[in-house]
Amino acid sequence: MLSWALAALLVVAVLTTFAPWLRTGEARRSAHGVVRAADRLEVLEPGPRVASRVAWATLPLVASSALLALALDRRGLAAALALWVALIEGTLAYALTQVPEVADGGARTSLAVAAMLVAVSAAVLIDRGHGWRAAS
Amino acid sequence: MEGCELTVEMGADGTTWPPGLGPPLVLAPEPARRAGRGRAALTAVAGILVIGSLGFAGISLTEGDGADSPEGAVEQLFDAIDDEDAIGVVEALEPSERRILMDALEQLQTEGERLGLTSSDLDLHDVAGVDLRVDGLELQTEELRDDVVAVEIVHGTIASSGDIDAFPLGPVVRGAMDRNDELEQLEGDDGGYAYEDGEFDLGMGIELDDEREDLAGGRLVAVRRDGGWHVSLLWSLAEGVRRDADDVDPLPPASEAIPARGASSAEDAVREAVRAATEVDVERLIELVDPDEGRVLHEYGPLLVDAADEASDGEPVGVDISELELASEPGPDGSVVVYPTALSLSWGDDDLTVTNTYRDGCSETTYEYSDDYLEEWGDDEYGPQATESYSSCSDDVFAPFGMLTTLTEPGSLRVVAVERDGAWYLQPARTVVESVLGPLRGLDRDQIEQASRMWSGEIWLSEPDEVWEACGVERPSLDTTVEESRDAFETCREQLPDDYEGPWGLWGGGFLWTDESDFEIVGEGIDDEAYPGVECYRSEFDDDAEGGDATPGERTLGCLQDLADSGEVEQVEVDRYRCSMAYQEAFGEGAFDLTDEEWEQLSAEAEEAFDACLADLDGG
Repeated sequence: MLSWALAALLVVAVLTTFAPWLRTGEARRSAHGVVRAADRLEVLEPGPRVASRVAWATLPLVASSALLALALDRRGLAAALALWVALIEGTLAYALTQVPEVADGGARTSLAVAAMLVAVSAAVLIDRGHGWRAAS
Repeated sequence: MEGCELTVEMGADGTTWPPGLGPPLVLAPEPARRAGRGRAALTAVAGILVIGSLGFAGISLTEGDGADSPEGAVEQLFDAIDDEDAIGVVEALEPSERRILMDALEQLQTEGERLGLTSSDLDLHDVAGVDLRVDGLELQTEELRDDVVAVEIVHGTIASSGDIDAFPLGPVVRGAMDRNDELEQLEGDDGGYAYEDGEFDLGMGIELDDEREDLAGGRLVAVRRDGGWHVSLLWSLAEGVRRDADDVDPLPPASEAIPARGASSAEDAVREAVRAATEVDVERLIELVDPDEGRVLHEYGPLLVDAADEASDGEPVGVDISELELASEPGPDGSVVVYPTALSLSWGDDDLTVTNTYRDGCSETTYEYSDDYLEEWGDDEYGPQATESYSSCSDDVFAPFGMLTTLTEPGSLRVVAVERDGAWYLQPARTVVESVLGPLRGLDRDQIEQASRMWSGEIWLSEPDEVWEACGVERPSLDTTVEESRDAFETCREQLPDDYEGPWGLWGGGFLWTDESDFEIVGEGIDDEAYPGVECYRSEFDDDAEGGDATPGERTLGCLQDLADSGEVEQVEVDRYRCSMAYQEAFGEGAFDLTDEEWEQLSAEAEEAFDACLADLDGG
């Protein structure tokens, strides 16, 4: 049951990154558009800028890898990857929701999804820990 | 079961079975097989997603910056304008210009908020209260070089409208507007000091309803950087200058660009630039410009050098710098801001010598006229005097040009220099930004509040202390109500001694006291008695002036003619005014509804009529 919940949340998490996260005038930007604009406008220092660009470009890859890990019953690995997805997505979503005038629905939804992803990933890891203890 | 012992074998999972039979055969249940197939399908789907995500990551990481074509870059810019999307506008620009603009906007926002000019709601991502619409954009291109393309707007319009109430104006500006409304109510319809509603409420006279501008004929330059096309404002500016020349030369190839050659220190770079400027050594000036920010200057350099040589004819500009002391401080992003602590320069010709001296944040400009000039043009009382001096300090918000002191005081210039590979270069665009922001940083909120309120109607705020001391009325503070402040000013004007000769009004020159008053101006300013006929010109702007159905111009003409008949002004003044009425007659009351072409045509016709009228007068 937890695995299914984790899989569903991973899919939702990736899909919401393509929803509108930022309103600028009448324009709407997805999370990827926000990261691209931040990169072009050099909002961050060079190091963090490259890191955020790579993290966001590979976010769907990490999420789909987590799904693959779940399918192969590597639940611990899947939960760890899901936590990474939650961290990346949650950080940007939290930053944007601090400026409510510009934050769009995608950012708010993603913040909630990231929180749920953390909770479910943690539950998967705990459940897996219990399994190990029982086996040993 | 005595004597009979039953033994069992036990598996690791606790299952038991009789000895010798071996463990029971367990057949996999049917549902488990289905789950296995489902898992395989899930694995396959996840695998496909992984492969797809790899593609997405690859595209994202290698995606270039900029549009696919020059027209694409310009369209991107106008799409962003149409969406009021400030981020999109900045994204469409050339990368080095983005950095300049972003830094400038952030600093302006910080200063605006600190001084109460903008509210914390001001978001550079979405300026509230503004609506822009771009329609019917048609573009055509002209390749200037393979990496530089001019994009001409063949057709298109931009319409704008706004809602002042929704503007993110700060408390200082809002407060000034509210007090202006209060002042208007006090003044009623009698005029007074308050500016009329809608004209100067913002001190800018901006009409905000559905202004539509034709974009046709506009020309922007797109440049290619790392494979993507961007709009460049600086290149567009340079291209405009190139095309405005009498003989339009082609853009030089990149190989002919003037190379960058910096100085040994930031201060040396400034000194060398000053020397090069005074000697019209444009090539050296361009060499000293940062090759990143000022790339356009290096590449247009050969054209600029030729143009300067042609204009100066090899002669220096005639500015003599007798003193230049510099200091520097760290600027943003590792740059250094160089500024003068003392500067003395002079320029002029046979008739006039101007000397500007800057020290300790204050500037004094002295005009010295030659004897020959004074003999021809001098006037004992109101004409040029042998020596005239004006002074202002960088924190004087009522100085001429107010906070933009850099325009009038070379000493308040703050030059930004940056080090590249051990050599120091100047950054012209950042210097402009820094020179505007520098004086702002030296002001506090009270000074800005005083200036905002003065410009929105509370003219007493510009009165120097001497006026209040002379009239014996306590100067109203910024916290005093509008009514009390206005009453205090009225009382002061009534009580001011007739023989008061000190400074008064804006800039100490009586600039704003133009309403009717029994106060006789003795100092500088517009004096009705000293300038016979001035009341006639004033009546032109007085909607309540008597004169039946006569137009304002006809009222003024009639008034002047009366004075001429009584010998108070010369007839030639009346005749000249009559000639100038060609402009009023040409434009009528619908001048503001004219298109640019109609305006130019009417101007030309009026000028012709005016010149012909003057020629007739001279002939007579």
